[in-house]
Amino acid sequence: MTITTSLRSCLRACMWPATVLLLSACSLEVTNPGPVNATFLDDKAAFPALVNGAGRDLAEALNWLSYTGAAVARELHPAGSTGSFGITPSQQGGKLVDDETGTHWQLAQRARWTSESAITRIKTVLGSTYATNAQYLQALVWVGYSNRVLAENFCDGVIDGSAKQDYSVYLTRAEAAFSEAITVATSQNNTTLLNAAKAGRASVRLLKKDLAGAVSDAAGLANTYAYKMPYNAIDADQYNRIYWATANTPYRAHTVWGTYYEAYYTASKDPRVAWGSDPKNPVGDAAVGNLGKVPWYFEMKFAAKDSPINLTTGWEMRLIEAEAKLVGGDVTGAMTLVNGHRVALNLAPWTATNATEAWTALKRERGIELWLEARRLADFRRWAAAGTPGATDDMTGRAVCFVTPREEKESNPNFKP
Amino acid sequence: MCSLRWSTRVGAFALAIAVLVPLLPLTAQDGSGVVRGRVTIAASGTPLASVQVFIVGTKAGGMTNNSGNYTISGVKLGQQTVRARALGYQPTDVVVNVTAEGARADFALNTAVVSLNEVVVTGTAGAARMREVGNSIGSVKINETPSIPTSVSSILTGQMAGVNVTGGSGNSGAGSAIRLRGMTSVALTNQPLIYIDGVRLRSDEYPKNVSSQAGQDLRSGHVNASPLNDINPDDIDRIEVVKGAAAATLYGTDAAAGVIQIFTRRGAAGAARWQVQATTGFNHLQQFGTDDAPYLYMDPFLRDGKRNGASLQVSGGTAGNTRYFLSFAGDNTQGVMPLDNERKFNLRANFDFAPMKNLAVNWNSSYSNDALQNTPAGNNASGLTLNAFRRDRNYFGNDSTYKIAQVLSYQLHTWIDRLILGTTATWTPIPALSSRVTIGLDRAAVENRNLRPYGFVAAPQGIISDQRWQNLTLSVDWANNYEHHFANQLVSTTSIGTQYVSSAVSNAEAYGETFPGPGVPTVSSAATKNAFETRQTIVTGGAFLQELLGWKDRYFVTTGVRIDGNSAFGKQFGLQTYPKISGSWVASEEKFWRWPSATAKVRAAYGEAGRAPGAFDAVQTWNPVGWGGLPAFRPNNVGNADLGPERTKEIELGTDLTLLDGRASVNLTYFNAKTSDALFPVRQIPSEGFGGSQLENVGKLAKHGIELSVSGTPLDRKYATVKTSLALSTNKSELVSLGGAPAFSLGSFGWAIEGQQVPVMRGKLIRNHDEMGAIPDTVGNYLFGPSQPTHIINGSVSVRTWRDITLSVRAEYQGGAFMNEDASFQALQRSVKWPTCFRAYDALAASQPITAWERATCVPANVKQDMFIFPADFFKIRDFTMSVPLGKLIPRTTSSMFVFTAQNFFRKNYGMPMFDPEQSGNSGFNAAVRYISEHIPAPATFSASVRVSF
Repeated sequence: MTITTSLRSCLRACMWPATVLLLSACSLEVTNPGPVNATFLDDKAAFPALVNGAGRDLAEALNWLSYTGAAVARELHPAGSTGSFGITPSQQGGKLVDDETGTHWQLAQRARWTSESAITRIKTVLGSTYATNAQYLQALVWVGYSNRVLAENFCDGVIDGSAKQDYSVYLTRAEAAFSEAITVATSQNNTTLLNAAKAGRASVRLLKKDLAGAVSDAAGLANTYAYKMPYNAIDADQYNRIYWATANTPYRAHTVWGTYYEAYYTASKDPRVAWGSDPKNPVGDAAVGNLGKVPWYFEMKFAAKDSPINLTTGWEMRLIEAEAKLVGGDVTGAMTLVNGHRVALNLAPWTATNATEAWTALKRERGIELWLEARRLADFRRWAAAGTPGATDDMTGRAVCFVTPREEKESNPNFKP
Repeated sequence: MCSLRWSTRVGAFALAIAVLVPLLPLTAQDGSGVVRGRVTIAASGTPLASVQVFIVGTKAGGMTNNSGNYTISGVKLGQQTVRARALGYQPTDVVVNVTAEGARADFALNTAVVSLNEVVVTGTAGAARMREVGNSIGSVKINETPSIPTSVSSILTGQMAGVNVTGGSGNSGAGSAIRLRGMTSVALTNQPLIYIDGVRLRSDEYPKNVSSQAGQDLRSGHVNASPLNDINPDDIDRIEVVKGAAAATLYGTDAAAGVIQIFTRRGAAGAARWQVQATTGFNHLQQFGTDDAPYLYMDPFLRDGKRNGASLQVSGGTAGNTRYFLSFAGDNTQGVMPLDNERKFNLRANFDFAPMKNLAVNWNSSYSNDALQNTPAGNNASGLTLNAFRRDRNYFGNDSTYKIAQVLSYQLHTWIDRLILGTTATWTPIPALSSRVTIGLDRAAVENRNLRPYGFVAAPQGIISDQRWQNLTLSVDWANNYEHHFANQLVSTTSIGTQYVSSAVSNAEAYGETFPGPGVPTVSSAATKNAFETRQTIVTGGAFLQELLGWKDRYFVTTGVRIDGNSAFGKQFGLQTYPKISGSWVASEEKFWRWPSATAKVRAAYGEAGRAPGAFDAVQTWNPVGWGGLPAFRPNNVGNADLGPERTKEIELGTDLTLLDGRASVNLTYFNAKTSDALFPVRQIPSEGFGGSQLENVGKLAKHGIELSVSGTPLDRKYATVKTSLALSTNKSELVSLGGAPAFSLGSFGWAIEGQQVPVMRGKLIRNHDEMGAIPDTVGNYLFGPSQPTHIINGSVSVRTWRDITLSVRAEYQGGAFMNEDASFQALQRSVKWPTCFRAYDALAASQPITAWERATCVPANVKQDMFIFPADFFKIRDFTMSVPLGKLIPRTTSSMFVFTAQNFFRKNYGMPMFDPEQSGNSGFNAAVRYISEHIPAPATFSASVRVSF
């Protein structure tokens, strides 16, 4: 065989790999199932799932904030567990440090962003008809509550990678969203979301010290009204986290022992702060610092994996009205409203002979009424800032808000401490 | 029909040979004689087939058969020198006096530590001689390893400079991480590519037995099995390793972390050769706590786990180029944990045949079935180790054996089915041209069943999950070589080829909880159920061109290029090109060379290779999820249309020397690798919604180091041989640039920080560690050092003594790394009375001072998680082996051997007070940064084996 012949053979041989390469290159495109491309969400058929996702995000944020916030706000006492479903040593000491607030911040910011981006997407896709869309209304309500959750729990305001702002930026956004929701719900004749928006705006206006506006919004809501964030037993990250952390499977991570509510419930049997104990498991699941093992008194407000958390209630509206009266100097009128739910529950009413005692009663009653609902830190912060009289839990040396986490500080070039 | 007729002809021919050959007169009548004998491997006594044996100075010679036997007829009477020669072994002479009755010359061949003509294939387009290769190639020949290999990982452990096998735990089935020259990537896997007989395998770990159900991620044994350990180590002939981009360019995208190629045994011409092996032994856990608590309160639960195994191999072939190798192995191994057990079966069938004159076909097939049972362990509130370690501060609030043993009703079963099929056809139409196609299929199917039965202490209503996971890798590799001899001793070898690899992973899981009552449940038994499914396919297609020029058979230059496309690349990203160039010079064949007993090769190589991102990394995606029965979408991945592979460029310089006629060798390599466009998980701004991180090609990494291997045979006499080897490897990495991204955590206190090694361990340093009575003087965010070892020393000594009894020992030292030991933190922060604090407790009770370290760690209020970063330096004796050749002690056998091996029976830590720095935590052996959680270390293994050939 000559060289020419063998080279020809070689060239022929070389053609095959090139052919195979071309064929293989054609099949390098792969469509993998599961996650969807963002453009898929521009189909209006995807809007319900998009808005439900925003709701789920808010549920998850509320779940984490209510538990950790409860530990810091002395609504619960740690019972030992520090890892999964536990309370870290820093949080046990009432500290919210920036390397432990990342999850809370991430979840709360995501809840705000998903609902706000849903609004933008729905408007873009539907054009001028967006206000007639039911998902648009629900998204507005989620925007309002997600911003309220941020305002009530975080120290700083940051929007979409912005510079650090005062946390009141969330209140402004919440109020705007609730206001639009009220308009849209009215036009859509959706009473459920109309009430949810009104109650949400009332609570926001209280935080903004717009007491007249708050009272106006609260006025139309019945005592028994409640708008609740649902949880479910399908996936553990959708379980009610406070319940699950002390469901003894195997965590007994927190206890009512050592809180105001331990003795208060023993004396009053107020069902709003009920707790129980188990002779077979008398102590928490580990040791708490120098305290060692502590008694395990499990809360009973959330008695199942799918126990909802109140976003707002009519009784909260009464307390908003009470606070407005107190600020206005009407102690008697305020105490009537403060005791409204207690009377309905056949509990002994608080008594107050002066404004200071009335403030003490109001502060205690808000603690009881909104127990474990991620509301307490905001109350401590605003009352301290306003210098209101009256006693409440000793928060000396304890955090009253979640600091902006390292994750935001280190990744956001606009964030200046 | 054609192949049937062909095989019939071959069979008839073989039968004729088999009948006729014994009838041939072997003793000549004309003044010549017959030399017979047997060739074995000196280290193991194993018969060696296909050895060329000849009478020096004559044309008389022959080849050994499967039993190592040979016969040379027509040898002139009188004193003759008989020489045995085989690739990879030192040529050996025996002088015999040939008489009319014949003569016998037996050989025990020692390996030639480096042979310039030894053929390698890994990292080259086709087969290449070592003299032609410009990069370093590590190689392990199984016949030369004296110990009884328990896994592929154990074969590679401590064998080669630059190869680090580490990780795993003491649980049955736990795999090990393999790092070639340390870490190459911070965001992607650092496991090298694995090939077996040219077939691409999965190299990353199998999923551990844990449910996808949210909140259940800790309920497991936290054991990651390695696909590498499905391969029966007894089936392996040799393993080749190329350690970096300079050598792995032709593998393209995904090869930056190096390539390991396993070659299984083949049959040799001759009658069937049978080998039976029976192994027995036990696993025993060595102390990993302090002297006061040697097993950290696990004592009541531990046992010596029995090991029993048997294997059968048969190989042979016809004179007509048909060869076969068949094997079966079965092993049953108890773990040291009370529920741990592994039962494994392996089958292999390799065939080689030539259906046409110019066509050779190799067929490789193997099947393995591994049934694992594990004890709940790791950082798992329902685990045995966690509850034992934490004493009365555990989840029972009680340290009684009875209480803790309640977790043993937890059932963790894993079944792994593995099928590997491959065929290679090599067509050689003319001597100068060859075309080779390899088609391979690797299917791994894992079932993980995780059951907490009704009445289980921490889930009284019961929980079950059953996961079916499958990986299917399909690979096609086509390589064509054309060799042309020019004038002036110039030889050109041109290679062109293409590769296609498709890797598809599918995963489906059913989950249920709340059973109606006792009994053996299925998921269907549960009152509430959930299901999960993921599917992911990644395809890589590429082509390469290589040109090897050789002049005078001692100057060689290789250039090449590989072009790749990958389904995971971003849409803005096109094909990737990876070039390479290398050269080698056999200096010892120059005229100036004055040391005839020595050979020397100088080499240099430059090459590039990549690592591809994951299937979804380039695209902005949302996750479809549910919300209490309603459909929901939530943000998943922010996406990056410009995403491409990270590219590693590596330079290798080195030399390979042999001295004293091959009795000693020195291999020295310097490498310097830089990864540009390194993929970093750039943290997204949480307030922008997506949060988490997104892979971006923003970073630059660098590493360099030296690998030195020295081996030799300082003593080689008739009744005694001493062999030694020493390997040193260093590795210094640096994160050159974060590309503007902020420093980020890789978990377990490992960080990516500009100017530091990758990853660097960051935590709290106590500066006055031993100062008595002092308040701890701490420094936060202190940079301790790298999480990967910076220097590794391996050494071995093998002594052949009386009656060829061989004793060998292999040891390893690793230094320079730091590691987070989290188990102590988790215990101490919960006020567990912990053995490292016993002295402090006594001192405090007696109002005596304690050290700053004790004050920081033994007083629960002071304990911080980042205080427990320790040096991970250690020394281990990897194995001790005694091999006793039994000859024909057993009737009707050709040879037999008794081997005793003890592995991992001695460890000394330098810095870490407890545990084994080679352990891994919940995140598995392949984590970017390993840490120690509530696990036990790998136990010592003691095995005795009898191997019989007939």
